[in-house]
Amino acid sequence: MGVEMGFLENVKNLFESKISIENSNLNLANFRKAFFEKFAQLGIPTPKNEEWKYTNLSFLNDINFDVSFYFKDRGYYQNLDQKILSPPQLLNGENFIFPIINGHPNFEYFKNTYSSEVSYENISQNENIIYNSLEKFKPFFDDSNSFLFLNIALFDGGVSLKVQPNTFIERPIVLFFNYLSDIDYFSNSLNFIEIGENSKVNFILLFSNQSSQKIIGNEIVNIFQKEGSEIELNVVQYDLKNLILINNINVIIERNSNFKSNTFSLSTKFVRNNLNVSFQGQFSSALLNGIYFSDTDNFVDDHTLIMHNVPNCQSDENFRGILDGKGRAVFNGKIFVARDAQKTTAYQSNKNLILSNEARINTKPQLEIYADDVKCTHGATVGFLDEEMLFYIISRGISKNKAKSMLLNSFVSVNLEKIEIPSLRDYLKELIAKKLHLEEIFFCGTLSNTGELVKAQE
Amino acid sequence: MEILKIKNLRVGVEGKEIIKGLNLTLNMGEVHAIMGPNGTGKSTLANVLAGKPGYEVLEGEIYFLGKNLLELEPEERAHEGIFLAFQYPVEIPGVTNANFMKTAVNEIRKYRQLEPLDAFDFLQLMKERAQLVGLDSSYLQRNVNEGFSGGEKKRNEIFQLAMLEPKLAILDETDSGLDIDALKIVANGVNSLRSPERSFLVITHYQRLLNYLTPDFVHVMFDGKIVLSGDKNLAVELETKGYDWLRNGNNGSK
Repeated sequence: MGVEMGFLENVKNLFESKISIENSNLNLANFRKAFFEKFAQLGIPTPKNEEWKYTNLSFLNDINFDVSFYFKDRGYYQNLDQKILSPPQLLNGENFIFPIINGHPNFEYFKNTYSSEVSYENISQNENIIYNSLEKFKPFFDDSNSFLFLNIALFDGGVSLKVQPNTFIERPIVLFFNYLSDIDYFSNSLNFIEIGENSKVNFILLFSNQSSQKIIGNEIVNIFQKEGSEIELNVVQYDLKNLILINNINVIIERNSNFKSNTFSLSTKFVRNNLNVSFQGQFSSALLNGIYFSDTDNFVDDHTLIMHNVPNCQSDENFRGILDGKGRAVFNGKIFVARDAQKTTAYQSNKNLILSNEARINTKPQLEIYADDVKCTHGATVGFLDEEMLFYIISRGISKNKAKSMLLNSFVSVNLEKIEIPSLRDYLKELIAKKLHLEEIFFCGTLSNTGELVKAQE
Repeated sequence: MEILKIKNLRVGVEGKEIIKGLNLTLNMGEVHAIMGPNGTGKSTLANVLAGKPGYEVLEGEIYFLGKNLLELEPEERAHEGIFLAFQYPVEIPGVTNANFMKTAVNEIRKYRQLEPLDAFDFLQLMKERAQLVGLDSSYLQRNVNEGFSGGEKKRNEIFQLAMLEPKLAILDETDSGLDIDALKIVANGVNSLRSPERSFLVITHYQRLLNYLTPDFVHVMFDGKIVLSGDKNLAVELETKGYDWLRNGNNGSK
């Protein structure tokens, strides 16, 4: 217990300062208090907690975040350099950009890019949004993840985005989580997204860190998908040094809707993704894809939960990981099928490729099924590059490095091709090729696509 | 002109000696067949020539066009002009035949200081060579050997042979598992690739492939050595007498 005091004490100081600053607002203070008490009761998750068994958080105690910086003048966040607010390269320009810097959303920047089909509100200016919207997401607040409670106790700000009904928004909306600090810091933002009936929209949650010091990010994005809607949610985490990220995404899916997510974690110091999906209407589907690459002493943990509460829904999950150096990864995919959720189909697959002797993966599928008329499969594999395949390729005159590239390429390309936004797909192909030291980018979209088509027709 | 010279070759696998002093010389443009019962080291010989890891050369020398073959990496052997048609071709999910061959052809061209083929020329070449072994061009967009039948896999090996245009092609039991129609297709493909600049080493258990391929020389391998050499009639003789004939002590080479 002793080692945990550091973090808990820090957090307590933060909380008390927060409450004293917001003292004019008793409602909010009381609201926060209830959540803080719950957090204090649960504490930081330890490896004894089944959901955190392989994800040790004791290092949090070494981080001393400064309370004074935390309460910097709000004006600081409204006068930031454009460079901090705009995401890199090809993700910039053609998209709607919503920067969230150290947990503070920048509404001014978004104003210049936004479309009238999307309405937005600052949750700090209308706390009723918090009380009302949070009610729907209560079932996600599980004792196993005390960070959700801590977020509500501490959040600095957040945005509530609403996409109007019957709207198709072609350009993706980018929530750009950027961090910038020269001292240790703890960021909490609370965000809501509501997709109107029969609307279709793509999102990119892009994480980036410019800080020289350690940052803890504990962000929440709650998504409410109304009937007949469709979204693709892309999470991009690339080269996150100094950032300890706990990324909580909770999704409610109403009837006749399709949810699709692609989670990319490439060389992250410490990332825990909690992706929770709950079906609350029939005839809906959820596709969860992911690629993670963990090298040097990096760590990534993908925890997914799919709750089939109602009949006739489909979920399909496919995560692929490559581990190199002393890289570590955790995959935990839980599928829950309620007693009434008949005719559920749920597929899950997690494949891992290990390139070094010191890398490690802990993978665990978890199926909890209470209905009797369901189709569920799951599978996890861990392996090295296949020597027979390598020799076959090399024997045709292809160098060993290129042969490895080909096999790594083939391993991840299936999931890369699932991204619908062309600019994002190209961007990620480049990032992955760079990370894997691929000699040449083999992801030949047209060629392999045709290949899959031919196969599908048989 | 000599293309391949093997002198007193001894090879071990996991501490067990498989090839026990083998001598063989191939001249440019010749077709040699190596026959023999299972387990006598025929496939080991093929794998050693291609440079597969896991084989220990205990003694002897191999020269390929005057170069010391044992000093070359497997991909360098391919660059120099050696091709092995695998007994068990490997499936590579996620890599299309087209991508695979494009990379291989251009690597070999690079070594030979030729410009890479552009997409159009490459596609033309692929279609033309695929026809040689009766592969539909839709195969080119499929993943390497994935979901192929046994016959399709063997045809794919000959297609790759046609694409890479080696100087020495080693066929390791290419006839095994083929029905008579597939055997004819494969044999016709090989025959159309015969040339004064290309030699073949055909490893087979049965004589039936040799009915279509007509070798210049036939060697019989037994217990890690070549024990008998002759012309195509030797294959016929073996077919009637069977390999037991060798076991019964009649293994003095000619």
